[in-house]
Amino acid sequence: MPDGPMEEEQRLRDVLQRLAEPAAPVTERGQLIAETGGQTALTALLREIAETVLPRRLRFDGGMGGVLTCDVAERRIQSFGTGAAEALAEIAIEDAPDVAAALQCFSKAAVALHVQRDIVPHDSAAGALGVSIPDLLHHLAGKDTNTVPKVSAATARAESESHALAILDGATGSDHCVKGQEGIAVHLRALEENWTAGASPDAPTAPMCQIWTGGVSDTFAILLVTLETGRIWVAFEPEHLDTCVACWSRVG
Amino acid sequence: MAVRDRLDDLRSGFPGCSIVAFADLSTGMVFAASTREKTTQEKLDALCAKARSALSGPISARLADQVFQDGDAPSQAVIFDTASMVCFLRSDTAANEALCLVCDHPAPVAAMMARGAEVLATLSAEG
Repeated sequence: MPDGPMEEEQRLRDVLQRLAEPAAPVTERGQLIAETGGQTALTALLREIAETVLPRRLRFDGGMGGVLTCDVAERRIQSFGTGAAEALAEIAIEDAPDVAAALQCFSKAAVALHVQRDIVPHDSAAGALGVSIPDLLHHLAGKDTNTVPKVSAATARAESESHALAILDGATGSDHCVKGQEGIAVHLRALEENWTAGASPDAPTAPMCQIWTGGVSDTFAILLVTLETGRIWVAFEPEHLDTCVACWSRVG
Repeated sequence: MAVRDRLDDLRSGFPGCSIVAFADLSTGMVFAASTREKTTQEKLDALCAKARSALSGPISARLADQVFQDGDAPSQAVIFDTASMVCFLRSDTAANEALCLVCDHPAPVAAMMARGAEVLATLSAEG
């Protein structure tokens, strides 16, 4: 499934930021993308796949003789193997649990992670559906969310403007209205003012998000994001529920 | 179809969904649950308490008074962070009955809520 414009924008922003940083050292094993194994290596490996759109053969070297090779296109692993490139096996979505287990096992054993990116010598896996990062995340044991690229609350707030009817940032005191729904912003202000009048629990140590929707006659839902620094209130149409959750669930 | 079968059916329809519980908000009791892995009664009770807080707590009362039309308490709530998500649905016909769904990211929340609402309507109708 193609990503939405917000995901594309965030990915582009991450790539540009990375390009601005000094290039990682390249050795005969490839470019260093993780200095340790375990979760760090797994995150780097998944990020590498997530950033590969054109068909490429990625050869990951985890040190200590561990090598993993996969053909990736459009951010999906189409074929995969833990040895020589000739032994790559074409994969489909039902193979996701096995692929996830293999990636996790490889990352755990790795001491650092290097990658070599080559053009796929022939279109052997063309047409294969393969597995995507979301497919794999379902099966990665522990589902450590470090594998999901995190964003700041400011970024999520900016992304929310495309679907929000109104946003109130209780942390900064600023509020503004999107799409001319000033009447809804008034409700958010009242909620924030009443909140500060009491009934506030202890500030959470990590961002927590809550959404409420009313009955069928209610045309908007309310999102409350509780941060260490304060609260952000967002009103949005219920049809944007998935977009809203996808946007704010990455805030860490 | 038995209540448990309906809950199993709902949960298995969404691969990331690990728990579906049918609860009474007034008593805090879980009537029935379908779980992907073995869980404890304490965890189910805690889930029900969270449902009460989300659908009938102080903030939802404030939303009913100030925001939502007809003064009705919220019918649905979602609580999430970077690691997990819990969805709560209140029955349209029996206001104390609710479904609780625990799931991993990413999940098709809207589709899950819509399917959950259908199942909850059936359970409430069957009494």
